[in-house]
Amino acid sequence: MESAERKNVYVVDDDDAVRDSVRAVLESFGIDVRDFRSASDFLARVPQPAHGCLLLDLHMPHMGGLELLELIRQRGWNLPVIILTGRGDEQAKERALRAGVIALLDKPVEESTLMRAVDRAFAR
Amino acid sequence: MPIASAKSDALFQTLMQTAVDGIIVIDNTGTIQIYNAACERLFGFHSDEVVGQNVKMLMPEPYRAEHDGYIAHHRETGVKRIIGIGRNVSGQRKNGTTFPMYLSVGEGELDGRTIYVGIIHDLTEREHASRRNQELQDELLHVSRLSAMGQMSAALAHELNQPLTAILNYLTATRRTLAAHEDPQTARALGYIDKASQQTTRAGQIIRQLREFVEKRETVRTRQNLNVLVEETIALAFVGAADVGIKVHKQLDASAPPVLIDKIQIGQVLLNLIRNSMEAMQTAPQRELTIETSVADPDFVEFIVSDTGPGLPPEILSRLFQPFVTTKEKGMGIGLSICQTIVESHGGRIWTSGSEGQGARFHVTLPSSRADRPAGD
Repeated sequence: MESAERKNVYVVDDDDAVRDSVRAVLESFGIDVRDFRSASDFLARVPQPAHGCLLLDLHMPHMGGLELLELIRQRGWNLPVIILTGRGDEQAKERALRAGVIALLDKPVEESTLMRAVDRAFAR
Repeated sequence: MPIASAKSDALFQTLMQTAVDGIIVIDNTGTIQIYNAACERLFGFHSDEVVGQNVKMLMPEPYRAEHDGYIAHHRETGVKRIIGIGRNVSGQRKNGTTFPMYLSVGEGELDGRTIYVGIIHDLTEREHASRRNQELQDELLHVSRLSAMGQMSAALAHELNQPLTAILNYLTATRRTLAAHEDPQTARALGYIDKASQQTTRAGQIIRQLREFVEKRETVRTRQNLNVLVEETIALAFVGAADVGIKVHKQLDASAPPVLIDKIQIGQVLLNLIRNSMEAMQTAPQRELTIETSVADPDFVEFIVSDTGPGLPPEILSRLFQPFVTTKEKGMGIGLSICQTIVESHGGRIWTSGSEGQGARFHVTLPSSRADRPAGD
């Protein structure tokens, strides 16, 4: 997919290693990454998201992935969301799917799975 | 001096014969004057053996040595320790065994002499019940600790997934970073990185399986190939036990139709049986585990888990599937009862054949689910 504009992914995850390593993978694909250690951090520093997508963990302290998802919808942001989760919380997963996400991926996620989801997000 | 006039009273006699609790009357030297029928049942001594003797013969130590002192103390000081109230004590039977009893003592006067009337209530039943209650509470606590462990496992699984995710990501990033280089060293390194990535994915699958195993969930029944489930469960059972030196024989009937089951639950049953066999064979000279699937009955698929361990002792066979029955030192005995519940709720049966000295053999049948039958059957 040719595009003059570099693609942009926002990564929100409270785990430092996950955040940093996701950045490493995405940058190796030539994707720009801005990462945030919490949902409120993201909201404070990104008043209006640029074209791209949001990579989000479901279970985070203070504001979880679902809350952030719902907030994004409320603000009317057209920001595709991919959820990465390390937990088996079926109920939370169902709520996320109903709230409308591009994909819901279980950690640890393989590179091809992740990149297919990111491609789908950018195609929107 | 015997209390003869009281004994001739018919009403009194009836009272002594019919009272459910023991009644003993002693004088102020501790000598037994009256000893009713209930006492004969409680203590085992006949009235002739005790009337005229000191009441301390019915007491175990240390009460026996101290009783004369108690009476003397009360006589001299008037202080009431048990008089007018009651207390839990122990009684001693003729055969030397003791039993718990509640003793209440009243003081009275007869023919100018002080007498003491003791009413004895047997607490044996109550003590048994309370001990059993305590045992059940302990088991419950144990079970709830295990379920807490299950919850901890879920949290642990989540924690483990974080570093695994990071590892897999860094490996990917490394591979892509090196991809541009074409020297043989880099090619070899890339090969190692691929293998490391595969192992990380494998670790993730193991965690996922363990997590599914401990999660509380609604029953979901799907059509499953039992042979496939057997293979997967054997793999899971040998996680962490690969060096144990157990030979596994699989005799799986390829013609077995699918079964409509909750895969996690039946997997749990199979894992339980396999693990039991593995533990039973720990000190056995021969260590072979055999798993068979077969179609003896057109409507059922059967699987059999057998081992070359010591087998099941006959005294436990009739109670094997009851909760809290176990042959393991540290087992709590709910595994098999849960297995039975799961299997029977699927419309199947679980039973055991094999005898002591020939290894254990567990059979499970599950209703088959052919494609042409509605899933609800």
